Amino acid sequence: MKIELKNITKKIKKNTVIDDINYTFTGGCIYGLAGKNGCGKTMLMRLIAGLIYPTEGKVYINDRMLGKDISFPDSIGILIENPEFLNDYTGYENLKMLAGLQKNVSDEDIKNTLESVGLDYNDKRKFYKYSLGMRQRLGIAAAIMGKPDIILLDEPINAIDEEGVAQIKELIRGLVEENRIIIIACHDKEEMDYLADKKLMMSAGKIVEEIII
Amino acid sequence: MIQLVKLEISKALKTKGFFVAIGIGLVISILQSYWFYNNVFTNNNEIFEYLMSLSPTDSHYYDLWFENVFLEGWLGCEVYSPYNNLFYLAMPLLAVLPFGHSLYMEWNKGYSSQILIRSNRKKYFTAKFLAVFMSGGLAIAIPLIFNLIITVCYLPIIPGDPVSAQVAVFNIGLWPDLYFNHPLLYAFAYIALDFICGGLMACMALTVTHFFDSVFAVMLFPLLLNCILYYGLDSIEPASRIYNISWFVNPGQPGIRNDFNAVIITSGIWFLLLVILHFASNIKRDVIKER
Repeated sequence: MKIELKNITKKIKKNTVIDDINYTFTGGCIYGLAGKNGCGKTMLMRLIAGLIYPTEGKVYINDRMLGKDISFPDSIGILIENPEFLNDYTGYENLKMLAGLQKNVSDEDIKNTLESVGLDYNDKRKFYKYSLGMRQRLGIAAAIMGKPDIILLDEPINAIDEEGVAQIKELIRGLVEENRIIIIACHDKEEMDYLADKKLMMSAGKIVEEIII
Repeated sequence: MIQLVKLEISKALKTKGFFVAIGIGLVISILQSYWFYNNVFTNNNEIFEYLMSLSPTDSHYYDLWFENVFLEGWLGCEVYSPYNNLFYLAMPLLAVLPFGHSLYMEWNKGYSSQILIRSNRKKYFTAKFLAVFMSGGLAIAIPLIFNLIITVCYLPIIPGDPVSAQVAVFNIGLWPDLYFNHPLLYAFAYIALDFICGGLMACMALTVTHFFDSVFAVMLFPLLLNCILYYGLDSIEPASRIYNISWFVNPGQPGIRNDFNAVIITSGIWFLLLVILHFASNIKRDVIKER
């Protein structure tokens, strides 16, 4: 599994949010994106996910170009910004609907995924009644459901209680596999140092430093 | 693709908006039936009984009386009360309520991302268009069918007398042969036409998703456009009525002159325009929360 960013630039209304990034992500480790608010972490994740088009440059997923050979990576899970689901459905129902669009995700997988993030699959509460922490957990569940090859997690431990943070950290570390790329963005230095194997410092849309932890 | 279409249609038919739209349509439907029964049907029967009480020397008055027929009492064709006008004025809003604003909500909340990464843009936007079309069409067709069922419970399924003032359709209207010879088929044909037009009106909201900052503007756009077409365009060029979707949707044919070819051409143009605009405005759009 390989993600290549070649001369990636993204401009939004004359603002350069990603500035000529060249980098290759490979499977088997967790990449951490660090930097101030507005440095481009979320935008970079969106570019990798295929949700936005680069103004210049190309993104390759296993040598296939995003936006030309493929619209989106074949196997990807994302948690970008505040997770949103359908308000009138339970967490389980929301995941079940998404799982219906994926291959090889059974009801058992959904239940196990919900349990792994600390949610009860039998919970009858609709999504609009979920607390922020529960929403975040559901977002993580949606991102890891089906064990995708690429997992993008933007501030995964936001709004989660202390006990939950430990649980989620172990969960994320447990997802590391040779053929899986995990990219997280996190403001907390300690959490980043614990989770990430490689830390990419970003500033003004550029990767300014790579730190191997 | 099929899974995605099923998902979107399932979502569309379970929204609160769908039930509200059907509810409003059914309320209009019931009120119209109640009004017609009490004010037209009952009065007409009283007139009949009065005529029957006249002496045979006054029998020439019998020719002045005409039995109420089902198309006369059906919401689609009934011209005595304001309910027909109300229903067709509200039609764009009723069509949009179920799912017309769904892309706006999902896109700006970020939910669209979850669907897109599990399918692709073409499939998502196609499924969304189909679901919006179907939910909009059903929101219009179901009250019309309901009202038709109520109406045939007390009015005969026979054509109206062309000599009477009861008829809504003339020889220059749409489907006069059906109206006078197969009135039930006329009702079904118009319900099908209204299903299609309701679907198109719902898709008008879908198409302008990214052009407004407010979900209310998106939802009200088809209603506003309908009013402009109905009142504005018509006052400038009345001859354009046969090509005017806001006029030919009404089975009562208030525009009098209609033409099947014009209906097909207009509906076809609207469909193509909406499909092109929908895909053109979405297929290359960055998935970013815009608002």
